[in-house]
Amino acid sequence: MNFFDMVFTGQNLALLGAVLAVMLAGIGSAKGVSMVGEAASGLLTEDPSKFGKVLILQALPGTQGIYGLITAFLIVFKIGLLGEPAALTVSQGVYFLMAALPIAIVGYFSAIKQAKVAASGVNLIAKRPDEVGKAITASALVETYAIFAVLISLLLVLFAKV
Amino acid sequence: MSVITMEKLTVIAPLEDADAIVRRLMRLRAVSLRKGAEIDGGSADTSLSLPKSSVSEAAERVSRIDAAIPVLTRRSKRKKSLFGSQTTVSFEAFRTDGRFDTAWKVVDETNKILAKKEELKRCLEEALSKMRSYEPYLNLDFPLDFEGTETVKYTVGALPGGTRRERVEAALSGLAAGFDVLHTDGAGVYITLIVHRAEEEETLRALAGLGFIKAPLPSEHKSVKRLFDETEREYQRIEEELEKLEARLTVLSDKLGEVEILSDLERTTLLVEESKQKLSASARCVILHGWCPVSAKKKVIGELSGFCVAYDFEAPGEGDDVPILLKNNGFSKNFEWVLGMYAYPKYGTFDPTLVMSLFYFLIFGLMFADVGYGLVLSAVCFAAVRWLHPREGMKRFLLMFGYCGISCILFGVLFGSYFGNFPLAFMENVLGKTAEELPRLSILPAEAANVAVLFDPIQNPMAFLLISLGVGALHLVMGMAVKAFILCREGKPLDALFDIVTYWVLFAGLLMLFISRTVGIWLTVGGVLSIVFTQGRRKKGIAMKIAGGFLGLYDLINYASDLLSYSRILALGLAAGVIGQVVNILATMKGASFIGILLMLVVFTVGHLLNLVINVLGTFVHTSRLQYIEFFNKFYEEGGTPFRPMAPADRYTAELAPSEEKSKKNKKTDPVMGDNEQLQIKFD
Repeated sequence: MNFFDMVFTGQNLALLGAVLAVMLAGIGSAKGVSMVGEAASGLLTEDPSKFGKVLILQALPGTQGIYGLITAFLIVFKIGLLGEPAALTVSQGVYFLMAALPIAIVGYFSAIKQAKVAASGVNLIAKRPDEVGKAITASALVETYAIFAVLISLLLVLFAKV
Repeated sequence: MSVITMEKLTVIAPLEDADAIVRRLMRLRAVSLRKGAEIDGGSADTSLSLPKSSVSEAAERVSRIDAAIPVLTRRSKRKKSLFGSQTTVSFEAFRTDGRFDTAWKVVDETNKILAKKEELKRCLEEALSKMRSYEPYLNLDFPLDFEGTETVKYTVGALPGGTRRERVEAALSGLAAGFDVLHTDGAGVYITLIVHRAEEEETLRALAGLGFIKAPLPSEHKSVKRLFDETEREYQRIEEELEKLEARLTVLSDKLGEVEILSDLERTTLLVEESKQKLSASARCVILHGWCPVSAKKKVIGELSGFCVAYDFEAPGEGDDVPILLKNNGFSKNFEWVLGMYAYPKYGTFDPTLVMSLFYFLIFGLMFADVGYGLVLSAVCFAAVRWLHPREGMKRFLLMFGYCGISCILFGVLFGSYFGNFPLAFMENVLGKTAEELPRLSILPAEAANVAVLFDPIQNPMAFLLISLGVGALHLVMGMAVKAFILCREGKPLDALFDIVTYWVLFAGLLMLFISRTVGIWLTVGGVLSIVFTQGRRKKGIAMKIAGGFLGLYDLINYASDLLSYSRILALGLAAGVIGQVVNILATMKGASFIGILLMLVVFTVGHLLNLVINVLGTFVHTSRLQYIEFFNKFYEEGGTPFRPMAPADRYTAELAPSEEKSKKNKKTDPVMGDNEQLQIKFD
């Protein structure tokens, strides 16, 4: 058994998928939340009473990281890492890797793009505090695509035959 | 479920009654004022208005109270209220029973204490810096005004820190001078210097080269030690005085309740003065222009008839920016703020709150179907409303989430979710039984063992996706039905038939394809043809009409993408369920041992609380989005400005209406229509 075969086992490929989902979506969310946080601090120095409103905006790009986490957990359950590990063929492993890609990649980019909208929403709240609903909605529209991605990732993992 | 009809109110009143009339109307919360500039296209003469001095006087009083309140609040032993509770008071009684004067005394004393505290703190700083400058010379025994004898000059001073003894000795060599080191620290070397008066200048020059400075000590007949002790005593005295002031503030903070009432009372006066600025005035009388909902007309007339005034009600004209007041039933009115976050409907159009609230209830529960989370959400919200007496806007906010929690419970029973899959995890890991022993509640025959009355979405996501899309289809069809209703009300039933019903035929056909092919095909063809024939009817020329007809078919894609958007119900539902599962696995990991149960309690509480918070936010945002984008898009005419009537300040208190004062009912002033607090939710 050469090195290549030892590393790229079905089990490890599936694990790679789980790890990518949680990593990429997590990095995206971390970047996103920090971007909105910076914009929010700018506003809060002027008016600390708006904390509640901007907190919601700041939390919005955080969901992609959670979606990545859920996908990763489901894969880990499915391949039995917490109990008796299932023997996976390489092609089964690749299946899980593929299943993780939608939320890994879409999660990463949508979190950052969503954060940009949310950060400009913070500016909107600075000038018009009553329009918080519109700022949230505008930002939530971006999240739609992360939701679609996690939906496909979850369905693929749930329907996987192990 | 309607937008309330408004009328323009004009009142002409004697100048001396202006204050009382504004106050009475304010208490009714039923009239909003229009500025002179907004009336008759700005032709009204706005130069005639009341003097501004009373506004600035009232503002000054309010600012004094505002300065005192945070100071007292910080020291008050009273618990901080989470949802902005209000107390109910009678301003009249407050003014007459002495509390008014007490409150003002407290405010004035607080402000005086604050000023005094500032001054004392400055003195404290001063004393401290003095003590620091005395400290290095504490070993000096001579009184400070001692300057030596006839022949010898005695000086005290400091050299820069780190100056070595040898360098000083070298500098003084050959001079009739001697020195002694008093004290050394990082900042300097402190010395006494004795020098023959004849060589004083030379010596000082030599030392100046090393950076010598004379000590900054007062020339008094006292030792440094004594001076230091005196300053220290002064320091302690100031500190004691500060403590006394602090204690006094704590005593004063017992009267915080009265000061808060005073704050609202004076702020109301400020609001009255500001409102009076919006009146047009002459030397003898004022003219008030405002909006009044017809539902409150009688009460307004009742108040006005007590004065010697002329008034008139008039229907709004073309182009008037009529403010919007919504009227809904006890359940739906709690959802008005969700509508308000989007936009208020235009005056005279359809108020979708009722329909929206029903679908909001349905979709929220479906998206976050869980008995445990629903129970917690409802319990927290209803308990807060019941015991914390939140103000109207916050109350509706809480009630809405309370109702949504009920929806979560109902759907949680259907889909067998109790804090995720906690029953299963508890059975397997703590009780050591198999999943087979769980009660089988499903009414569907082929379901696996679980506590769901229908099925478990995680085991059967496709079925849940179908339900999500089904609810979505219902929502969209409802939106179209509302549009059809609006068109019919506007007297355009044919438009409703061509723009709405034709699509319904097509939808029905597409659906029937799965059930009965022939019926489905005929309905689909019929729907397509009717759309192609009718959608180009407004275009000119036969070619454009045909093109328009086929473009109408393109709308089908919009409907399809709207429908698919509802798949988020499944995605968010799965997200909540899977996180719940993870928490349960971690919580029940250690089985039934003592440590295991302890771990379970901690992980269960923290984990599920976190999941609850994350998902309430997500579900709220995405349920709202489905209303705003997918539903409102079909029919909504937004663009109204909400009705904000003149109202007394109610930051801390709710004023008792005079009638209620007499009947001694301890109830909050009921707003005239229940709808007047225009739904400003406060997240803070």
